[in-house]
Amino acid sequence: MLGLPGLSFFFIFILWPLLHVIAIVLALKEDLWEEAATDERS
Amino acid sequence: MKEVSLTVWAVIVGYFIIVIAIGLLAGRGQKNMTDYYVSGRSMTSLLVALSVTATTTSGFTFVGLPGLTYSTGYGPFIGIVVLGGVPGIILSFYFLAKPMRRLSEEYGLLTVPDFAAALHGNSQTLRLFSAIAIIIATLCYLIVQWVSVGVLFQSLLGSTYIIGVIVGTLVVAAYLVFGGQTSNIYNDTFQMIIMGVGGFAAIVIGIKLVGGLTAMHNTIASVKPMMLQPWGPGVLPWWQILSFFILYCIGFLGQPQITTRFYTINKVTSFRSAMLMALLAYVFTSLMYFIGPILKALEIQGKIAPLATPDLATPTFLSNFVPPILGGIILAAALAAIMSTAAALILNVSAAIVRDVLQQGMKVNFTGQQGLRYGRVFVAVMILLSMFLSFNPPSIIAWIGNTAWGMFAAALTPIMIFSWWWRRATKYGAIASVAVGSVLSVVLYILKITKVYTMKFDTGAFALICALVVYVVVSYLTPAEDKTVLDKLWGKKVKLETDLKVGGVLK
Repeated sequence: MLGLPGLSFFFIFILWPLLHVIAIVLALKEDLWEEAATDERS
Repeated sequence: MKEVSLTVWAVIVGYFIIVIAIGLLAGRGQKNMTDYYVSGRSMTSLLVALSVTATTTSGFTFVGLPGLTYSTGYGPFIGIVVLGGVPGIILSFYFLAKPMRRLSEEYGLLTVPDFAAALHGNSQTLRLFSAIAIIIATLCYLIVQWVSVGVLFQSLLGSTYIIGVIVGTLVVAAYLVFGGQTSNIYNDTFQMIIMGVGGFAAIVIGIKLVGGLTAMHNTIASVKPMMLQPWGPGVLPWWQILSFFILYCIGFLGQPQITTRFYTINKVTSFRSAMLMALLAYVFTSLMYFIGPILKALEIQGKIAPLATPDLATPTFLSNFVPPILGGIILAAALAAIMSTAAALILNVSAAIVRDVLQQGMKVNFTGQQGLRYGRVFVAVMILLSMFLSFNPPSIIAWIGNTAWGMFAAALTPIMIFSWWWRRATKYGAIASVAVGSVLSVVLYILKITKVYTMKFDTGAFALICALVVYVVVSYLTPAEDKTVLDKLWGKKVKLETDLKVGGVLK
């Protein structure tokens, strides 16, 4: 796999992109980012 | 690159002119400390995102880390980026962004000690302990940044070290004294674009030179196969990678120069896209790590001589394989990385002095305009002081500067996590943890450098674990605290009174 041993391939080409996918899933979770009552003015 | 240094100089000077112009434009219309230190809480998600990543990326990313991957392979990349910075960015947005922004609006918070104190009954002891830790570590960290500007000027531009330090500090002064946090964030955004373009271009050129990724890895495998492993004999041991994870992922939450950006965003919902954009930008700067393996493969292929020291990795790559205009851009990117970190640190230390020591600690009363003036004066004073100290820095400053990330991690991460997320946390636990984290991280590092006692595990990571344990133990040993502040802010439907007086007043 691109000349890399399995463990390094996992970290660089699987885990690295996977963390970004996790971030996208978290970003889509509504309640985490909802406005506080105090933010209504902004 | 020496014979074409005119092109490189032109790029660098052009870059300096742009950052100063941005600074002068950004400073217009500021009225008080909230405008100066947290941009009046009006920054958009893109600006905050790129600023977080630009501050995370320091000169070390452009010079030190390619050297590390040149000598030890992929281990540092996996430890610091994949297991460190990427989850660190996600965790800091997930755990800190919303509470910090909401508390900031509710109580007028400007600094990290503000955050800790607000969640522990406005404890002045906790505020002063954390402010002192921040002031000492930041000043030393700042001097280390100026030293790297001096070294870059000396090694790549044929200038002298002192001139490099003076030019670097004066440019930062020109854009920061007047413009404050807004100038810093606009400049971070511009600098982040430079870093992204520079890092990406360098890697495309490098990988083409070695004949593609697979060819590069096969070449390295033919001579030093262990370099392709994440850890193991002959390269970094597994516990070193574990300490990178503790220091750069968990410890990310304690970096005040990064987390104070969360105060500046215009609204809580903007964090959603800010987190994603910060991560995307981080991908581009992380590509610089690949310069190490690229150079190692080029060396095995006989295209370059072995490097005298690993730190020459980036300079060698730039001077041998990159066209001068791009070399200038990458050099500007390295300067940008250093200067954006330095600017964030200066604002941090100025805010700690004006807000935490003068206004809240010594109860000096001042109006919004006066606060703004004090802020600007202390930014200028800190730049000058750190400039003079960098001409010939005493070893103790360099030591603390080199371990500053670890000191922030150990001293501040526990309070950033527990104060908000753990109801049983007490101010005594917080104070003990700040004291243990800051002292232990520095003392262990100095013992290591002076070879009195060499701890194998990273000293900052070890101090962070100790500080977390101390926080929990002391909190359980002391009486539980009133958590009205937490209850008010956790309650979703409660309509809160806002007290947004100039400079913010803690209730």
